[in-house]
Order: sequence, then C-alpha cells, then structure tokens
Amino acid sequence: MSMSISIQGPESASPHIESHPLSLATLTTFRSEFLAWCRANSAEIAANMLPHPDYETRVVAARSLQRLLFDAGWSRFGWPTWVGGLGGSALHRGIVYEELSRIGWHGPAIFEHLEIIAPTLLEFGDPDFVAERFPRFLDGTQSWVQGFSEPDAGSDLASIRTRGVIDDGCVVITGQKIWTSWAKWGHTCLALVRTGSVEDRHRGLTMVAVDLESPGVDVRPIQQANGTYELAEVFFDEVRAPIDQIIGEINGGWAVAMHLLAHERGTLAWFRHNHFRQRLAQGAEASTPVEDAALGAAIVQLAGLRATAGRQLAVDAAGGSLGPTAAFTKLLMTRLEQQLYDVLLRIHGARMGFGVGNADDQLLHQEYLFSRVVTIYGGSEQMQLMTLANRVLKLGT
Amino acid sequence: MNDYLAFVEVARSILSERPEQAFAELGLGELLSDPDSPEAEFAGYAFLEAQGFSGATTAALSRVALNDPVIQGAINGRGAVPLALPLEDVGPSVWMVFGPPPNEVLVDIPERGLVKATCSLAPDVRSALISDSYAQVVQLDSTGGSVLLPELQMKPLRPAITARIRFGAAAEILGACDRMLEDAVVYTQARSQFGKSIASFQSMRDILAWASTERHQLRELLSCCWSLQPLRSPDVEIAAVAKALAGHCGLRIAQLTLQATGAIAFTAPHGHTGHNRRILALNAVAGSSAELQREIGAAARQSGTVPSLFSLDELATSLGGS
Repeated sequence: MSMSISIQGPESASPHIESHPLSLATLTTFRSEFLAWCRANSAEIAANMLPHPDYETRVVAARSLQRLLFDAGWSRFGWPTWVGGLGGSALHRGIVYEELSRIGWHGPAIFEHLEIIAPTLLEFGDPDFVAERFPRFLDGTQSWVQGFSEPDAGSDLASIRTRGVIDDGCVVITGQKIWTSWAKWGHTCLALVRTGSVEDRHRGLTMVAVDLESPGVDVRPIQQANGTYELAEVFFDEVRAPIDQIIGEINGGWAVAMHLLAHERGTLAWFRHNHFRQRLAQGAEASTPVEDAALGAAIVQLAGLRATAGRQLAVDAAGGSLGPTAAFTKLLMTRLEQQLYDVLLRIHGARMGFGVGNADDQLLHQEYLFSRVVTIYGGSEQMQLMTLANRVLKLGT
Repeated sequence: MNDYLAFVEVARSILSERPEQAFAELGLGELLSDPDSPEAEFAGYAFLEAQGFSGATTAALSRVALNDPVIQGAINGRGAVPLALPLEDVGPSVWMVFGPPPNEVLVDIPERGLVKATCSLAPDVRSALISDSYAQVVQLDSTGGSVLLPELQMKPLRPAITARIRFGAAAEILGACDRMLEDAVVYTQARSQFGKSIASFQSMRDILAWASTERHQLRELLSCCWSLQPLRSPDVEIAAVAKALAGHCGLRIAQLTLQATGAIAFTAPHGHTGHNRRILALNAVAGSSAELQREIGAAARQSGTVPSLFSLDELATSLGGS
C-alpha cells in the first residue's frame, strides 16, 4: 500500500478500534490509494487471477487473493472494526471489486458469500459469535455457505422441513438441503431450519450457523451441467449447533432470510456487473461489425444495470433498506447475463461453445452454461416477478 | 433528486389542467433564457418528463435543446420559433418539429449553421405519423433562410445540443412510460374476465412486472444522469446511452402495456395510442435506439473498451454519501 496503514490483526478486533483514516477520506482518494497498491503488487495479484476452469485450483487462488487483500488491509475496508474491519461502507468494497475486475479478476468464487451472508451476520448475529468468526471469513481462512433450498422446498421457501430442536443449549438439526453453493469448500453453513410447526409456515423458521465439520454433516457435491461441483446436497443427522449460533430470533428466521436474499438479489449485482463489463470489453475486441448492434444492446443494458445496482449499493451503504425493489436488480442482472453470454457465444463461436482452446475459453464455456441457470438461483425469475406484482405494483392476489 | 421529482409532480399537475399555460406558469421561459441559472436544464428535463406523462404538447424540447447563452443571444426575440430535427431515415430534407404546425423553424444545417427558415407540412408524410398534433413532419420551403449563428460558432455547440435533445427525449419517454404503466395497472385491476380481475392472472402480472422493471432501470439511469451531468456541458456519450435505453424501454413498455390492456388500447382515441406515437417520434430523432446501439457497439469494438459512464464515487456523492 502506498500510504502507511497500521494494520490490526483479526485477533485484535474489538469495538474500541477506530476506523482507519482512509475509510473516512473521500472515495476518490480511497480508489487512488488502492490503485497505487495494485500497481505496486501487480505480479502477486496477477498470479492469483489466472483463469482456472478447475474449481479446486480456483478456490485455492481465491483464498490466496483474499489473504493478500486482507494482509494489505483492503478486504477489511467496508466492514466495521468490531469484526476485524477497518471501517467504511459497502461503497469501499464496491470500489475494490470494481478495480480488481478492471485488471482481470474473474470474481470472488467462494467469497461471493461475503456480500450475501456477511451483512446478515452483522445485522442479526450474536455479537460475540460474529466477532470471533468474521475475521476468518475476511482473511480467506474460512468461507460460509447458505442452506435454504430443500428437495421439496424451492421457491416455496416457507415450506422447508429440515427440523431444528432446541435441546440443552444447542439446536439439533436433522434434514437435507440442496443446491448449496460452494458447500464442498465451505466451513460454516447458514441453515434455515424449522423450529415451529409445518402449519406455522414462515413464522416457524430459525436461522442457524452450522459448522460443516460437525458430526452428522454430510456434504455431497453435485456435478453441474457445466462440469463443475459448485453446488452440493448437505445432509444433517442430529447435528448440534450451539444456541449462540442462532442468527436472529428463534422462529424469526424468515426476516433473516429476506435480509440475506435482498443482498443476493440487490447489491451483489454491483459486484457481478463489473465482471460482465470485462467480458463485454474482451468480446468487443474480438468482434466484427456484424455484432455491433447486439454488442451495443448489451452495453446499453449494462448501463441500466450499473445505475440500478450502483444506486442500490449507495442506499445500502447509507443504512437504507433494500426491500422488494431488489427484485428489479435481480431481474435486470440475470437477463443481462444471459444476453451477454448469447452475444459472446456469437463472437467467440465454437471456442466458447465447446470450451476448446485455452483456460479462458474453458472458463467462458462454463460461464455460458452457468448463465442459463442464473434466472433460477437466489429466487427464480418467476418469484421476482411475483414479488414486484404483489409488493411494488400492488396488484393484489 | 427530490427537487427534480417535486418539480415533475408540480408540472404534471399544471400540464393536466392548463397545458397551454404550463410552460409560462412554471417560469420555464425565463429560466431557460437565463444563462446564469444552473437549474435551467434540470427543470427542463423535469418538465419534459411531466409532459410525457400528461400527453401535453409544448415546444419544451426545442427550448431545452437551445439552452445555451450563445444561441440565446443569436435567436433573441425568436424564442418561439421551434427547432426542427432531421429525419434522415425519411429523407434528406425532412424534419420533425414538436408542437403545433409552424410557419417557421430553426434548423441546424452543417456547413451553414443555425438557420431560420419557412416551412410547410411534408405532403408525403403529413398524415402518416401523427394524429394528435404532438409532432409535425415538415420540409423547408427553400434552401435559403437567414443564418442566425454561422457554422464557425455553431460547430462547437453541436455536441451539447445533441446531448440535451437526447436527455430531453429520454426524460419525456420516461414520463410516457410511467403513464402507460399506470394506466395499464388501473385497467387490469378494473377489468374482469372469468369472474375475476385480470390483474389476478399470473401471466398478466408477469407482463406488468416486466414493464415495471424496464421503467425502473430507465428511471435509475436518468436519475444518475440528472445527478451527475454538468448542466451546461452534458456528456455526449452518456446522453447516447441514455437515449438508447429510453428508446428500448419506451418501445418495450408500449408493447407490454398494449398486451395487458388489450384491443381497446389499439384504437385511435385511446390514450395508449398517443403515448405510443409520442415514443415512436421521440425515438426517431437524434439517433434511434437501434442506431445508437449499433454506434455504441461499433465504438466498443474499435476501442476494445466498454464505457463505465459514471463512477461509484460520483454516484455516492450525488446521493449524499461520502
């Protein structure tokens, strides 16, 4: 880092540490300092950014980059000091992600949950528990996953059946989750479990942080259509999680889940759209005049998404609620992702369509296939449309 | 931004009751003529958005486009003469004017400059496009006319004029989109089929939710533009993207709301028809969505870059963040 930053290790995280001065400087200054650090450390950064279609290698690189950013302080900006952060807001994280994307970063891989789960932990978690676990999330040592969907509860999240029974200072969990992203490499699962009756629907749910190394946990990766093992089934057989690992209130898990999903549907789009822009620029370089109209159409949609996601990130940073309008962002983000990869497929042809060629071609192939499913994860497109019809347009039922 | 939206609300109210007086009643004439007024274009775009919503007709787009101290000085006393915009797709000497049929127009002719000329309705397209006097297609009576601002002075002003037309048209399209969506929601809640409101059918709700999503992204992008754009020297590149998105969203929302409202919206007197035609006219001038997208794509291909348009730093500052 070009300026002198006194880095506090995670062991020193406490409410008494003051925010780093750079978190209080203007965002423009913050960006300049980060860029200066990137230039000074370009070789080490680049080594952790090489395209890896192999997910094992990719996860190792993601952890290594996260550690590098943590040691230099940059991954700690945007998080409060009591969990090992250096202060600042989501805007600081937004700038770090944007600049990393500009120099070729393909995304956070297992650490995408930092933007989805971490804000929810801060909002609802037991402070002592969060202060103890959060720094290891930030420094790349550990990663979190979310366990919501079940074989018989997809869009109808309120019908989940995985049981959680309060017993002797623990929640005892039995059941099955599915489509759990990055579970193969995860350490802690934020699981939504039923502590009330089935009839209670969403009022009988509780969110629990479950250690995936606990006895009774069985993670079974699922090979996806793009060949990767990003998703998994997670089975719980009388798994015990200490009661202080309940996130939010007992039977208050629905509000926690909605808070988390709003981030998955809303602010995550800022981080994703930076990667889209890099892919579009890369495609533009390889395109011909025949593709100008399609390329331009995607760029125009990217501008709409950038404005929508950027304003949502700013609202979040100012402490505002994301609410149902996050559904707009999710719809725009996923529609653009499919449009973008359609254009790229036309430009790159068989190299991308079959994943033949270099590592980046293989990655593009994976990303193309993944873009086909983005309208399903994090609340399907149909659910987003229902949310808007009910809660924004107020069309009634 | 709150000031902007408040102005839109006031303008909507006045335009719905006294469209002929609205421009003067809001003091826009003086505001746009005042070179020291930083609110001028801000208010102009807000007025245009309200005009799109209300379906009123004024020469506001022309006034916003020419909002430049040099031009104002040159056309002094001729502020009521509207600016005509080229319709190159139709023909080399065919122009579009927003407002009632004029006898004279201002035209920007490359190599000559800003010219005042007499005109008449173009006979071949007189009845083809417009039925509500919102816009007119005209042709100049001769190749003459008087030069108000010579090419040397006009040339450096052109990018900003184009940008203001594009931003203004985008704002007006957004207003029309708001109105079409609002009308369609009301209609589908009131209309019953199979014994229940058609708004209760999932297919109908999906149509309206998509229309709402398009409208949302246009609102968000224009909000960024109003917050971040220097009023007197707007960015041509951002204006092109905004106009391209506006055209896309306008045409798509017109189609979706027509689908939701049914055949009644395809009748000539129905409000949807006027809004749809207005969007078609606004999309046609200063670069259609299709033309601009092609240009934006070509620029990206040639440069190998994709514009970011505005930074997160700027955005946060404009919203009152750090």
